[in-house]
Amino acid sequence: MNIGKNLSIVFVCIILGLLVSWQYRSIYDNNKIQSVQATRLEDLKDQLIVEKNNNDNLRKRNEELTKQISDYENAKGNIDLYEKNLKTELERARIIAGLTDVKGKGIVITLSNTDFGIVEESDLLTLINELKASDAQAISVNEERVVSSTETRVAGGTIVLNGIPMTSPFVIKAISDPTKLENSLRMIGGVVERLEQYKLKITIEKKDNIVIPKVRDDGSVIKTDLLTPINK
Amino acid sequence: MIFAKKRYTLTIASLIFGIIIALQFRSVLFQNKEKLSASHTLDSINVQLENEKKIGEKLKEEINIKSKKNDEYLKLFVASKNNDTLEKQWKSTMQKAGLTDVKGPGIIFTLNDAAIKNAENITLSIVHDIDLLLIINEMKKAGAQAISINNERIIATSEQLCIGPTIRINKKRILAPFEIKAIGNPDKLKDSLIKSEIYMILNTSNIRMDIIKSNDIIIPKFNGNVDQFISELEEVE
Repeated sequence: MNIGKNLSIVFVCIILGLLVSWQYRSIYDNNKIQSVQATRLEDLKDQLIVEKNNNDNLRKRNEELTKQISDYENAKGNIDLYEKNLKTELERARIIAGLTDVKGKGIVITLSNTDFGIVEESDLLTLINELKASDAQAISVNEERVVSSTETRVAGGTIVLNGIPMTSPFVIKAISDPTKLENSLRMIGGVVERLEQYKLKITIEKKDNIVIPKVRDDGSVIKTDLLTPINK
Repeated sequence: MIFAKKRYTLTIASLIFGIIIALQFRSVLFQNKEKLSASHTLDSINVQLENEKKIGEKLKEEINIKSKKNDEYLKLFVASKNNDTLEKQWKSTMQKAGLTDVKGPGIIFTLNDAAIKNAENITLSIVHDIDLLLIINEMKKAGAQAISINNERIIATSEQLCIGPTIRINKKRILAPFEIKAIGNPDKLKDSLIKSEIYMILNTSNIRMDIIKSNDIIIPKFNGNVDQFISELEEVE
């Protein structure tokens, strides 16, 4: 008799224990799922903002082109119009190619060797890439403009960029929203943290008026002799 | 006495039992409600995103057509001027900026995640932004004159950024496999790549790579809205 009742108490307690642990487990799992969902949500929201911004820019360009074409059609033979537009197109291309001196707000980064660490080509590469990813619109390293064909190459004790050997300290200028640039670089797990882990010295200064020189157009940096245009 | 004590324990145990079952039911019901509302928000943002992307595609198409028309007008003008210099300058500047389709000799380099992933450290088996950065740097060292990744032209402002399983280039998200085209001296490009440190590292991690030399590589122009990449710049006269 007693055994029966003891057993039932044991039975109930076991189930109780199981239920309590089940409860804890499901709360824990829920929290995990919620945080994964939250990250996904944040990521999607970011994507949405980027797409909307892109579309705004596209709309502006579309309007600009529509106006230009209608201007052409309304003023056939008006040479000034064509000349003006050609000049604008050319200027736009020159800026993108890095063929003009530019100025604007931005930051100046100084990256230098220390007794315990030396700047490697991948350090410069990742730093420059991070700047581009944070919307830097013009970048220079020790007064050499970074363009599409800019390489970074270790040679002896120097780093060669645009064919020019350079040594520490490396002064990197970038034009874009200064706060945004600095924040991207300094975020946790970001470039500054990593470079400091490699025992390099890095300082960032925000400036209102940065001048970045044009790329040398002597054929040593931008080469096009192997390129053939495709005429559609 | 003893009997009463046991009954007492049993009562309390059952009470707690009952409360816990009730809590469990409540939390399960609550979870389901939360999941429903969270997935609603997720769905609605997804729909908005798809919408914006469609709008973007349509706008790009329109811009493409209008740009071609604009170019035709400008070409006519330049031709009518009978001024060779102007035409050359225009073509050359557009080419240097990466705003023209080009072709020439070079290589096609394909990269893909490892076929069988490393069980201990899966990140080793995946292509990362730094890998693409280093590979492209090697190509530039070997004199590449034009480069594209999955037909995204690399220009002065092109970034390579890991975002989850994708890599963002020219603000667009791209998935593996990655096809990198480069115009330059095919032998020099291939040899430099194979001898490079990054190639050997990727090889050791079983990242799938393939290099093909060709005399007729076609690399498309930068296809996007150029203005957003130069909006903060002021020219210095």
